[in-house]
Amino acid sequence: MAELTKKEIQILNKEIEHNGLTYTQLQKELLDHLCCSVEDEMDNGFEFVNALKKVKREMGHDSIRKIQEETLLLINQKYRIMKKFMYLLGTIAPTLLIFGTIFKIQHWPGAGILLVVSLFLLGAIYLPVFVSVKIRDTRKNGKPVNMPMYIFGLIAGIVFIAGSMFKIMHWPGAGVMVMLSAVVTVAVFIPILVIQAIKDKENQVQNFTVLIFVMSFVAITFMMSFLKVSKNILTSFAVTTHSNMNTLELSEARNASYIDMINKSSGLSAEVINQAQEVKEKTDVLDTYVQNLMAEIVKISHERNLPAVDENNNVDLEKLYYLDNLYSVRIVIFGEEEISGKGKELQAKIEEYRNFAAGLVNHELGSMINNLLDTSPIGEYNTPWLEFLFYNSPMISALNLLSDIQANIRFTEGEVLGELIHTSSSQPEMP
Amino acid sequence: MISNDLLKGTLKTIVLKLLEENGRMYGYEITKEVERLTQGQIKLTWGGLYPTLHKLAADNYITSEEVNMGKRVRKYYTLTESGSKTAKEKVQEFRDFVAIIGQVLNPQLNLNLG
Repeated sequence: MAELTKKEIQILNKEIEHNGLTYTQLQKELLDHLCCSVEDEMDNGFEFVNALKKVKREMGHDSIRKIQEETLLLINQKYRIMKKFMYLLGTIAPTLLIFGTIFKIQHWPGAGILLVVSLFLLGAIYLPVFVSVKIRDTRKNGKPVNMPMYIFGLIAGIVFIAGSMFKIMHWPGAGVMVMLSAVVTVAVFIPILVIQAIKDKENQVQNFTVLIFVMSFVAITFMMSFLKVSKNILTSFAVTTHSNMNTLELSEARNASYIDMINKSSGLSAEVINQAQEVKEKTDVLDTYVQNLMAEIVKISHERNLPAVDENNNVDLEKLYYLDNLYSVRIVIFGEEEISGKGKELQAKIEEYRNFAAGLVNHELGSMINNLLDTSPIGEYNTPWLEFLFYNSPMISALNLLSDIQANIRFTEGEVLGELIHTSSSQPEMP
Repeated sequence: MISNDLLKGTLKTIVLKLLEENGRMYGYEITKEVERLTQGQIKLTWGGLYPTLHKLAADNYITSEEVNMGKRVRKYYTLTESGSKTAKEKVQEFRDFVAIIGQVLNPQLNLNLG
């Protein structure tokens, strides 16, 4: 059996390379095939040159380049489908996202489902498909694949999109996810990008731009998640808090005149006078309790806010900074590990006062008081009153709510005292 | 000689079947074996064979290993587990196909008399 020499094999190899074969997997194989064919013809008695001519003539109709094209086409079918799918998804998902955003802003129904579906498509499908297509493209171009860059980029991207989705839908765990993605981005992804941008001379402009945008994006996201509430909303909270405080003052003045009236009146029974006194005392106690809570929230928020509280624990809104502080409300109302929160106590005190006040007056006024100082669960999800009002609430919102409670209990006091005066002064005239 | 058009759809089946019978084969060996079995009636061109082999490998029906033959490298193919399952299915499918085509080409007399 004929066996080709090294030199002859080299000639055949040139023949293949000359025909434009670049896919190395195929190259070796076709060389072997060609060698076998030539060897067979040589066994039939042909010289090497003539054997090659004969083989070439027999195989001629299939150009080697065509074999390569066909092979790559067959192998890459899945990849091409994937790429088409990616383009399709890349059109649908952002469109849905834009519609979801418009729906959300307009408070139309269906915003939630649009946002969830579009973010899911982007994060769970588009991003992984994009990364795998990108890796294949890079490999096909014969360049090294920076695997850590793709893996950490993918993780950061998916977790960030999931976090945003949870945040928009008010699902628990959003904060942790956004934080985690920020940590992965800053600590791992950005350094890898920097190295890649330096190493990859060919795509330097592209890599540099990607790097700049990723960094700006992280900075903006961080800023927004720390600001949390817009300045306008904070100011409007401050305005209503201020007006609550004014109402409170007016109510206090009116109630003082009621008490004065009761004490000076000669026609009232001792029982009524005692009741009025009890109402005043209980109201004062609760009012002071709420006032102290407000002072505590302000004082804990920041040492710059210490001057905003005077010796009577009154809060001066003009001197208040960091209106969106979340920490102090959480500590004072809900507590933390060793510090117990005062929220539950506040709720119990309000309920006790409400029942006391409503018990002193007629049914109609009683139910009005029950409404005014209601502490039952609120909202679509029946959130407990305390959580609904104070959970994750910025300082100024808590102050607004607490001053509103103060105003309401002072108002209640006034109504109860007025009722006491009215009923007891009209009674003696009855007979 | 059998035309390439007819062969195209059955090339995968032929390759899988041969690998199932012979275990380990390389490209040239496959063309020779087909030629021998068909007494030269079917001559596989490399333009048909190699894309098919690579496609089968990409779909994980066969695996390949390169063996150094001294002066050149030879690539041997073997069936994978899913490949041998597919081989049986494809062969059966093709037998059914041939039988059905046979019915079309040689209609039974009683049908005509109907």
